[in-house]
Amino acid sequence: MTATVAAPPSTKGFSAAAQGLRLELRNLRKAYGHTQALAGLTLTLIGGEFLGVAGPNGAGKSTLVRMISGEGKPDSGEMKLGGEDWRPASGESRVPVVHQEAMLFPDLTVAENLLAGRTGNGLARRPSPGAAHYEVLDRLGIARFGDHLLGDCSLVVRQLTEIARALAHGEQAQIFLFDEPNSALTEEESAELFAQMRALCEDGNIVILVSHRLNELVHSADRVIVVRDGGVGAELMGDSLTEERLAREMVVGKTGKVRGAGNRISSQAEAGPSAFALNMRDWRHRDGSFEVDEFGVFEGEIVALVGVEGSGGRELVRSLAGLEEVRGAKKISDRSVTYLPADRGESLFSDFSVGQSLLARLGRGVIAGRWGLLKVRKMEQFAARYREEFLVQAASLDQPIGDLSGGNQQKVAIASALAERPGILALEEPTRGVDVGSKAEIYRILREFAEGGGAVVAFCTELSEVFELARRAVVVSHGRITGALDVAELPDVGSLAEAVAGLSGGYVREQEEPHE
Amino acid sequence: MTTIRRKLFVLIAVFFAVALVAAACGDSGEEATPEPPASAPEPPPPAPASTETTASTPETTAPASDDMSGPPYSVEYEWGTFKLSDRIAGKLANEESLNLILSIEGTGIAIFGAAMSDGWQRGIDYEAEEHGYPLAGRVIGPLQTDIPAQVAEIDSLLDADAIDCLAFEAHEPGPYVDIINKAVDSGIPVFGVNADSPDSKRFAFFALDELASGTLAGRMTGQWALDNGVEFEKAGLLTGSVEGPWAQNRMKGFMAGITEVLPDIEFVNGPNTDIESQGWVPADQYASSEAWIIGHPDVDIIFHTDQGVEFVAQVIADQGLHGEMYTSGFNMNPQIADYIRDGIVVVTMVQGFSNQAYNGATACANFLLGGEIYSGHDILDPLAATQENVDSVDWTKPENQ
Amino acid sequence: MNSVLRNAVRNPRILGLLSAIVVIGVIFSANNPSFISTRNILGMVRSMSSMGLMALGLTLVIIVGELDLSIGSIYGFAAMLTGTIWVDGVHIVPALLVGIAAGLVIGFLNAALSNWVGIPSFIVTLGMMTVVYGLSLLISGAEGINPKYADPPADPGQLSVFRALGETRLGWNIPIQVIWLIGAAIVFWVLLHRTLFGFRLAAMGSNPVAARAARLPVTRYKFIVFTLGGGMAALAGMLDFSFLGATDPSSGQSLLFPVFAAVIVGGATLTGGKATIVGTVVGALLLAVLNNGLSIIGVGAFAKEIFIGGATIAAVALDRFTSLKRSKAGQA
Repeated sequence: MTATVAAPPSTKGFSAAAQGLRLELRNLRKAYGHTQALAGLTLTLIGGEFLGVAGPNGAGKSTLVRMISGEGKPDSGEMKLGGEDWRPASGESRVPVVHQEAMLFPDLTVAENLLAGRTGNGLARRPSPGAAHYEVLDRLGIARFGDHLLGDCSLVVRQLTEIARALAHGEQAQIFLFDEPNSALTEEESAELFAQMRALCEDGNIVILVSHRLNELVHSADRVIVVRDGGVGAELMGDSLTEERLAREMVVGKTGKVRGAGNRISSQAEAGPSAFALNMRDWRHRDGSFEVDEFGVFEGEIVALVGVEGSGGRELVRSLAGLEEVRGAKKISDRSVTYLPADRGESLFSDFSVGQSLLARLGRGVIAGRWGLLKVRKMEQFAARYREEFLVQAASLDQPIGDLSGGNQQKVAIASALAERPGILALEEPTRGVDVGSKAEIYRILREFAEGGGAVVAFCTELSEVFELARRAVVVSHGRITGALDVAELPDVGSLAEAVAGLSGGYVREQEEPHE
Repeated sequence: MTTIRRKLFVLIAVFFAVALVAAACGDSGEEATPEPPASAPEPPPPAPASTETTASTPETTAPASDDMSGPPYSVEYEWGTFKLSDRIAGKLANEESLNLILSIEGTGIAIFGAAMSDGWQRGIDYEAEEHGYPLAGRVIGPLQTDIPAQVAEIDSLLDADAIDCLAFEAHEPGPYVDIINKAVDSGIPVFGVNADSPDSKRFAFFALDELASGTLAGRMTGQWALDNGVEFEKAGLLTGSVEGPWAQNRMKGFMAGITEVLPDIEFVNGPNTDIESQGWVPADQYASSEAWIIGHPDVDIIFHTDQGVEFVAQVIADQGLHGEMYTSGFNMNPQIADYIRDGIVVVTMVQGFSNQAYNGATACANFLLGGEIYSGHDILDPLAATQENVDSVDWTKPENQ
Repeated sequence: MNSVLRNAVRNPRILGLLSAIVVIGVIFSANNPSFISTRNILGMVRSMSSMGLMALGLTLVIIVGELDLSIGSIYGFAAMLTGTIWVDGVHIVPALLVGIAAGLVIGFLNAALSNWVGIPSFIVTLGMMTVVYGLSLLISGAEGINPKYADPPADPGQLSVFRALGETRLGWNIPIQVIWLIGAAIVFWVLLHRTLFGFRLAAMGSNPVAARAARLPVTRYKFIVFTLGGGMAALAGMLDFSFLGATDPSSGQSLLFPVFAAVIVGGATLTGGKATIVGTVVGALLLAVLNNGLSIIGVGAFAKEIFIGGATIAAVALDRFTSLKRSKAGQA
């Protein structure tokens, strides 16, 4: 299905009401503990505008979203809507939010999730979704999941459901907040989503998109602000709105330079593949998620498995570490495999400090001696060394891991995996939800690991990531490997996208079930 | 936690009810075989050996114009007429075995669970032999005090027609009234043992007079002090269950009794002031007694209302207070007997749980088989155990506890 | 001090608990000066030792994110089993070993049912709690046991060996149960805070999904902590049996809540990942102070229940409040 965009019918007819829509924020301040999240942010938005919000992690983006959606109250400052003082309450119906992490009800069906918390009162009988709701689901291509329990659905469907939830309640909604809505979506899916956002704008609504993906912001938004240190650090629009400018604004004040494609090619070209780190034949998942005839990874190589959710790529990566049930399989490798999930909620230990997190995967002989007694001084040294080696920015090793920015958390997660000194690192979406600066650093860390003789297998859904990171891209579709590309020989992301599309049969979301 | 346990007990009650119904169905298949027990019957309990006891007043009233020639019996009570159920009358006519059921507060409460079971069975065996009639008996009840579970269990057995005569022990008087009246109204004789529900239609009640027993304990303790030249200036009270009417009466009795002999004695706490329920778990009772005793070094004599006097004695021994602090209380077991011998425990009132249950079983059998009518409060006498008589009784036998 | 092993969140709980203990102690002492006597403090620590031993075992179960409700029943069952077979003629040494082994086996069964069959540990141990209690009543005939007065009485030599375990008084009249508690606390402190085992337990409880992804030996460790927890409950039951010279099938039933309260008041979260041995010991101490002081004053069991329940809720409420503030700050 190509992205045919119809304006959401529910918002039609309300466009006139939204014409005079004007949101003014003046001098907003908000502190959490010792952290000044917003330090006098001033911003004006008018109906019909598509605003992009960028900025490094911890700069105040999420706080800004929370102030507008009513999930938090500013300590001081003015908020005006249509010229009148406005303090949105939590769950404000005029401001639907699509979150980064889907905040939905896993025990309701997808369709029922569109209703939950929005319709009826507690005493009314259980409401049932109507045709309009299914229409919204259809538009997002998830109608066939309408009656599935949300908890049984993949992350993509959950995220799309959240978007559908916002769309389905367009009558009252005037300001649409999208907080990294597509971090788990493929490019095609994202394109469709952006079309929906644009349609909302054209109806006179305000659309605010918070994203780490600079190219999306540049292509979709009318105006992009860079939030820095709790205020608007830069404002880009028209000719000045380019990916390059944006990237520069993002890393202002950061030491070190942004790493580009040139670096990428040279560093990997030198370390040519020598021997197989891993070679698999007849590698089949027990429930059929993938069937791979042959797949090999060379020493010193970074391979990206490219595919959509449900393509089997994720399961394939997990299977390398023995976390999926595989049958009739032959895996030839004497290398140890370490696996890192995409979701940091699944890779980090929330109650641990930064230091503990860095060492969490290490075992006897490294941080513990005879009798399993910990070698305290050695742990200190290791933690300090990893923190430096993996460029983790933390006030101290004592700091709770949850206090770090997403990018630094991801660096800790990768560091803890590489600390195991594995032969092969199997991971998913290495930089999901990570700011540009950290992204570059993570790519460098992974490349250094490969240069040292290791091998990296990464499941990626974002093509710019594949382009930056990998030497070879292996396209996975319908649980099968449909082809491989030498990424280093491609000039830009666009040509990579074309090539991938060719190999995956159009690289669009399929309507039919992936396995017959 | 309690609810869960309560639920479990209800489940067990249901299970037993089902089992009983099944057993009853099985029984009705075979004809009743009234075979008297082969073993020689044990004699009724020996007469109390205490020096001073309250008078025993068995109130066996004459039948009030009742036709005692055969079932159904009907008896006039203050509250109205009791009419024996046709079902039981039919059983009697066919000489079918009768189910005599005793429901006690806690079958798992160590001090009386086993003793009362023992007495109930002794009474049944004795009467079966005496009347030459098949009698079956069982002791039921929750493991630990749990009034709703106890009531529910009786209720389910009533509904299953599995009770031909009921005896009960009531943790508190009130909650049992309805279930007892239900049994009596459906034609089943009911008796109370050990702890009463006086507002119900139960026929009679067999127990100690708690106040009198407490008074006796107090009087004997005071007299012992005088006789042995020990000065008791300060006294204290400890109890496993401060809210029980029996505990309250024992404490009041003890205070009155000891004050009769030692008018100057001073109590550091009272039945309702500065007193805690220690419960029945040995480790808790010890720890709580220990803390209290350390906190009250000037107390000379401690009265403990029930099981637990041995832990008070144990603390006194462990703290090296032998000869400075003494204790009196209720109940008996070999350990308490030892502390009496050692001179730490002055006197304990042996309640004779076994005998109380024995009397209940006898009343059931005599009512149904002999047409004997009971009413009122049958006061049984405690046995006061002191250094003089402690060696003359075998305290390992349940009927002596 | 080393920074890696220090708790991620510095636990203000322990300091708060200690100040609470001091304040409560001052109040009790003002009421009755005997409260701060050496004799009373030794008695108090002795009386908390069984609760403390069980709480130490439970701390490891809780930090890995599981629950064990059966420990109270195990405490009673182990003692009852040892007493029963001893009175039946088995020598005390094997009888003791059988009792302790019973605790270990029940703990192992808890782990097997929750890990292999996949029943949540709450359900497994809830069931085990009543099953084991039922077993205690079954083997004892619902009667307490006092080997000295059993028929035939226990051999005096064996009796003195057995009583020595829990009844001995050391120099300065220190009860040996106090030493058991201190010794166990040190062993558990090393185990939880200074071994790879403890470090990984905290990781597993903190995020079980991540622990599996990192291929930490989750199942094996859970078997160890459940088995150890059962063993500690059995040991506690045995020592109290030894101290009193008698045991009762219902013993331990009333210990379950105080043991959980000690661990939770000490700063552990039931979701796992957070717990300290010092916290548990201090939590147990707070409960012991309350128990002991209220017994001295004689305000009654009702007040005790209210205080212990109230302290538990207050401690968790406090924790919730502080962690809420922290997580908000973290999101900025």
